[in-house]
Amino acid sequence: MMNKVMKRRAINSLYALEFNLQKKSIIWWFIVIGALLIIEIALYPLMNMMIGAIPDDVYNDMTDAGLNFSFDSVTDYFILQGVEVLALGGALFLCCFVASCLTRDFRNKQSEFLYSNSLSRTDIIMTKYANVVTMTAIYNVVMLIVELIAMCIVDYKGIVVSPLLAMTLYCLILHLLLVTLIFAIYLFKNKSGLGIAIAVPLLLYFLSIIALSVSQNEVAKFLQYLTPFTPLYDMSIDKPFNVNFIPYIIYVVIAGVLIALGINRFRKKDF
Amino acid sequence: MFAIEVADIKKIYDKSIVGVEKVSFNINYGEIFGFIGPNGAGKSTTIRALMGLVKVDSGLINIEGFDCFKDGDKARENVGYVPSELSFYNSMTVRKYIEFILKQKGRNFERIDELCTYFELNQNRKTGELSLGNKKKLAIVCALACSPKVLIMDEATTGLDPIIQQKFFSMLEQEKKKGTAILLSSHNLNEIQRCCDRVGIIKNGVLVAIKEIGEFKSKLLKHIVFETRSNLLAIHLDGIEDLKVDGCRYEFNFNGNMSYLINLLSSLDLVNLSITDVDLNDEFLRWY
Repeated sequence: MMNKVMKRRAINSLYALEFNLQKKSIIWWFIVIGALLIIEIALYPLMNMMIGAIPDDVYNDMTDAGLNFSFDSVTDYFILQGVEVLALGGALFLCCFVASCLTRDFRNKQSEFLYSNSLSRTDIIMTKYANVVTMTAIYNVVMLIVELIAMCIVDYKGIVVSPLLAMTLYCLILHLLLVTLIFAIYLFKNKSGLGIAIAVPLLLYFLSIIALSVSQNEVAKFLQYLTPFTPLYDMSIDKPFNVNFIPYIIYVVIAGVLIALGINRFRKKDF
Repeated sequence: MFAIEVADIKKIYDKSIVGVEKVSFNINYGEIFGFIGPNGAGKSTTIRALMGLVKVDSGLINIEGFDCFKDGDKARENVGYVPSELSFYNSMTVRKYIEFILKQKGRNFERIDELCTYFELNQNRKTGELSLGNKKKLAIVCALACSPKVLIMDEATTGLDPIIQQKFFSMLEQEKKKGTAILLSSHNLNEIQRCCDRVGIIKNGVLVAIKEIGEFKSKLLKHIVFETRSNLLAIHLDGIEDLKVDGCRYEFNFNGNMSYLINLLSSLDLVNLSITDVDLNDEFLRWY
């Protein structure tokens, strides 16, 4: 039997492999999303000036119509404007990362070597899941650092830490739920491409937009529970931790059940 | 305990396509077992089932006493595997790739240099830059570097030049002497006959025959074909097997007294005559 030290070594080498194989892609995604966040934050002084130039009566009409343009600080501005890039951009990147982790070996026939060694299928799949979770954490931490650096340069006095941390936390939860969901879906499939990994986060994102736009309608309000994006939009700078957690709870259950079924299916299927 | 034990396995794909059915064989330690059959006969399905990549519908399939699917990680622990289709992580160097596979096996790196030198494989090249022959060499080195007790090789010599093939068979002989059980699937019947102890012939998913290679050598079986103008009603001679008569053409295998046969043939008005050794090619073609 392979001893524990050897098994740890095998798992570690597999864990490192995934990052090495996707190194270039990871760097490009980080550069693109990071650059978008920096541009967004860099536009804060200009946006602030433009909002200030809007006549009061027009501004009042806009806020009456439900359009929230007001921001008192760069943090406030970023929470309103930067969330799409951070949440949706990250969701697309991470879901593609998951899809690549799980399909590449089968598409390129490397599975013949990978799955014919001494690690069990469960070990391999859990190692890949650990990769995905680590990448999700790295993404959110790196983007938080990028945001903070950009905000320091633009308006360091306007940085309010707790809402930024709350937004990062909600993004992290959202991304973990999405990658788990996508991971589970891809465990059922061997040779699919990136289609599902792109379609699912987009679908859930647009669902959250629809849910927000019909939030006045009691009947349609239930839509907000169908997507894990909604708590991000619930958040306010004053009470950042006071959001509706029900969508998260629903998705924890869905993702948990699906991943258990997915792992069970993956252990039994033919390659 | 057998190194490899396969008993009456069956695998049906998509509810109707027969992968294998009625395949049974055992391989002992220190034995080379050849596995031959045309494309689509079920060789790769059997091998992939042994490697735990495919789950059989019924039957027993064990390596070193462990079920290849349920206890796949234990069954594969001492197995070196060369798949028929090769694909590596292209950005890795040969050395890094072998190290990665050995880590996955829980083995140390002590045989890498020796094997790469033996098979003339440059360790610093990227795997993506390798030719088919060099890819095969890499797969063979990966399989051997883990000092396996069981070697499973699917079309291992395809793409290898004759010199490396010679080295490969010498290496197999050495592994056999060490007590390694070897399953060698190939289309090249000469190489199977040269190095294997036994051979299994698979046809349409069914293992139709298992032959000792020694049989071909010890029986001194001759393949006789002749045509005659004489009106020959029947041939009665001890040692005639598989007689086929097509008009004036007679074809059979013979392991009886050659003098009696020559006497019989000399009394006939022969148009032509051919006497050749029966080898694995003839045995194989007999089934098709």
